[in-house]
Amino acid sequence: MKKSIFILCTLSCLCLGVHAQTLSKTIVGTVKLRNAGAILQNGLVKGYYNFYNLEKQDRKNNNYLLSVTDENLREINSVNIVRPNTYLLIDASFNGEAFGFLFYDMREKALELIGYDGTLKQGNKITKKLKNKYANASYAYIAQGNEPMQSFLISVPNKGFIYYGINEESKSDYEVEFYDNTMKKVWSSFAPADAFDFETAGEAFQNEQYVGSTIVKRTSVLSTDIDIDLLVQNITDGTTLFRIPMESSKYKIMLAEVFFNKDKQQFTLFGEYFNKDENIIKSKSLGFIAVVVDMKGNIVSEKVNTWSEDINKIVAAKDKEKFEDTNILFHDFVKTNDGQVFAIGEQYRKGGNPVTGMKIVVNNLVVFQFDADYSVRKLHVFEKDQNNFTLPKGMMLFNSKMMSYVAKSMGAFDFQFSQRSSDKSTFTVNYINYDRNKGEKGKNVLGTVIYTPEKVFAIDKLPLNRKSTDYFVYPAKEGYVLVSEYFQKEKRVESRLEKLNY
Amino acid sequence: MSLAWNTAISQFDKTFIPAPVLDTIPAHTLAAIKSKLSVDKSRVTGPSKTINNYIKEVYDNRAGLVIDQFNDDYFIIDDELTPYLQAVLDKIYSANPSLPRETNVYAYRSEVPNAMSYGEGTIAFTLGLLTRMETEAQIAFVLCHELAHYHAGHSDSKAAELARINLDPKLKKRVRKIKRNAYGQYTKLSELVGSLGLSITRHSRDKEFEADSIALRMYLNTSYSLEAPVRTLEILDSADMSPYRHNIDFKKHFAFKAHPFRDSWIDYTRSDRWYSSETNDSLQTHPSCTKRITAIRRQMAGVPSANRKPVNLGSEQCSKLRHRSEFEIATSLFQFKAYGRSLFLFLMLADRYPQNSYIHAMIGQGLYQLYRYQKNHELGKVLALPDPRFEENYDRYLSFIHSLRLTELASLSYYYVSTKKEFHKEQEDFLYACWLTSTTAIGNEDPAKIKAEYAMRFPSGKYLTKMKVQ
Repeated sequence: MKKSIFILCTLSCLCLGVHAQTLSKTIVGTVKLRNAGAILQNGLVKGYYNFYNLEKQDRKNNNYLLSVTDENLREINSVNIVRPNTYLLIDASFNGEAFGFLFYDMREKALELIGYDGTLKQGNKITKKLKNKYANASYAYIAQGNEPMQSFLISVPNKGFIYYGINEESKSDYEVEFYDNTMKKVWSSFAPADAFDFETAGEAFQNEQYVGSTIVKRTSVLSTDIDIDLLVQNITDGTTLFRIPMESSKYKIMLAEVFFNKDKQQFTLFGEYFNKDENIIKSKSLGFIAVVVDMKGNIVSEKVNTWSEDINKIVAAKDKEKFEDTNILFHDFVKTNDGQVFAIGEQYRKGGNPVTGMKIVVNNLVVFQFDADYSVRKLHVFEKDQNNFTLPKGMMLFNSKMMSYVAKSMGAFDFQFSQRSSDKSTFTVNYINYDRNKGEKGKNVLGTVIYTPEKVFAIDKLPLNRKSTDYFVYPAKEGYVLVSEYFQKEKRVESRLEKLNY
Repeated sequence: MSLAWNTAISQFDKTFIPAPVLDTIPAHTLAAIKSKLSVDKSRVTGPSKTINNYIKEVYDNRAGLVIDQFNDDYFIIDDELTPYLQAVLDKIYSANPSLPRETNVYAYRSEVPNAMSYGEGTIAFTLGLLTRMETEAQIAFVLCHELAHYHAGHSDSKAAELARINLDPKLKKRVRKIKRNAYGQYTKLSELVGSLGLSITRHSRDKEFEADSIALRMYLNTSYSLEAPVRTLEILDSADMSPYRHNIDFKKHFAFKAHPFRDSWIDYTRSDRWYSSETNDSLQTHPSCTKRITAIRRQMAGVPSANRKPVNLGSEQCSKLRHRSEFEIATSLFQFKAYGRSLFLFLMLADRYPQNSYIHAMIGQGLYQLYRYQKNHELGKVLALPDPRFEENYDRYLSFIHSLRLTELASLSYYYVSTKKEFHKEQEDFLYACWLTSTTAIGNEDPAKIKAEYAMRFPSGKYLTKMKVQ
């Protein structure tokens, strides 16, 4: 469930400017805490964390409770933490042996990285003062109740954690740090001094040998003209295996996924592709590309699937009309254990007008199925009711693609998350839609598209009855989804695991 | 003993008829409880009207709880279990004529080995405890302990203590002080409540020792053997251990020609995850059995053993009740919609009674209910999630059920029943299971035909209404 680094870039130009004006407000105003979430290990849910504000300790500090449950919602342990009342939980991770938590103090403008062992006994604590205004702005954006646009703390199986941050000594260049299981720093690496003042790093992949990071480069904070590199480093000491631009011989690549073939010692870069002179954030792609590189970053092979021919061929006649005048925003890419790749997206159209407000009209979920040799094989369309989302005024200047990124960050799209099984033979895609069946009362529905072990798709729908003030849906252990309902009057949260039907 | 065992279990070889479910408290029982409540309230004559009213409210709630539990069918009113317990109670009263006959005992639908005195005269003896009792004397000692609680007025004392705590002006002042301060409210209130909890539980543990002591005096007035008190406490000490130790052979039960077994269903790795303990020993209401046994032995030192009934008095009857209780527990869980746990216990029973039609019927019905709840995305209401702190056989079972897809649950329920129909279809519960599982549309059994067959065989059948509604 990697966040899209492209959304991060698109929004950065909006948010950083905004936050430079609103940073002081957020300190004295209401802080919305991200107080619950799934703890992931290799993309699988291994538990949940809850971070509660129990009480005011004194004028400046609160007494918080950090509670961790297993994947069956049974509490493993909980610990009291006394911290400033401007404290915020940003990220939580589990690597099979240890937990890592990332906190941000808005008043002190400082990060805290804390490691806990499997029993929630605290290990090391690292405090980092953040002087960089862009770093502080990105955390302040989260403090305003927005979803983080990237994961900052990533687990490396049984070895430690990768932290993505901003180099204090730079304008806004990345730093990548690796911490061991006790949260002791092992190595750090920084963006090179070059023409790009804004280089952001985000997770691409990690395993016990290597860590891959997507590097997005811009010359200024408001620039939408970006270049992308893939950086692959050794996990043990951070030495660079290679850093290559996301380009093939002819095209520019918007990297979506990196797959590592241990046997062949090769990386496959998969994503949409563009002509080299095009802007990948604004322009429509030409189709999908798979580029295989060796351990030095040299291209071994590449394969394209064009929209105009390869993909158009597989669109069923009955679905052709659905693809007219629509775009697709891709949310995730999944590779199953038989080598097939699935690109998961949602159709949308630009609508509305500058007077009444620009809209994004979201409709069907689509899944493109690729063979193990990355040839597109099939297109699956999952119909769902249309969802109209009105964007804040001022968005008329963006093209539809950029608008879709902004809209996604505001929760316009129905897609919630996708999950793979532990053996990678199946996966699920979850979305929330307002279902209006004929003759029935409309209701919110959690829809799940399931790629079954029989290699066909099934759909399960779970009505979400709105008796509660609000509800949240989280990924869960294989075959399940977690629904949490918040009852404001009773100050109660009810969580339950729901098994998927297929 | 072997003959007793064989005799005891042979009655359940073919089928089982569970105790009736009444849904409503019998009128005479309700009248008796209300009358007793009136008497209890009239005895509350302390100097403070506020405290008296509080205590009376506690008595109202106490009686209300008992009435609710009757209406919810926790208390069993039948012709074997409860009358047997009542007969033992009568023997204790006969041996202790100074005690006023103010209590009644009922078998209670719970798997947990326990007995409870509600304080208003009702004593519950759980099915879970009945499954552990070896002799009539052990049952008698347990009843003596509960009688001791009642006749020593422990429940009434607790009500008075609760009143004192809740209406204590000093306590209220402390709470107001905590609330006035904006800082540390949760911690201070937790400490305050914790100290109250400690106080209440300390009294409870003292009362357990007192109840043991009084119970022993009552017990020694009977002619039951001297071995039972200590042996009963030893049994209670091991109450946490499940009586079912072996793993279920899932392949034996669920491999069908038309629906082959999948080994992936029984993939299981016991988690070694650590969990923090939730038990603070200081908050336990009962002292350890070891300490209780020491106290009992000290009190019994020098008591002559002459003229006592044999140690194994009533062991045959107890054996029968034990086995009967196992069936009743599994059935009760089904009635209370704990379908997951019920199915587990019936599968355990199936190994011991492979020809019993009732067991196979309830397995089929249990599987169907799990399917039905899963279809509605409500499986969590009737089936627990795996937990390494459970007994391994139960954890394995939960892991197995949770690994089944919806269509697989439906198939297992259908084929389990349809492959046994030839042998068990004359049993009413089984034929109903056939009808239920045929509605999953898995096989080619026609629900309408089965319904007609049921109506013909059982014209006054207990499932007719359900079949019309569903």
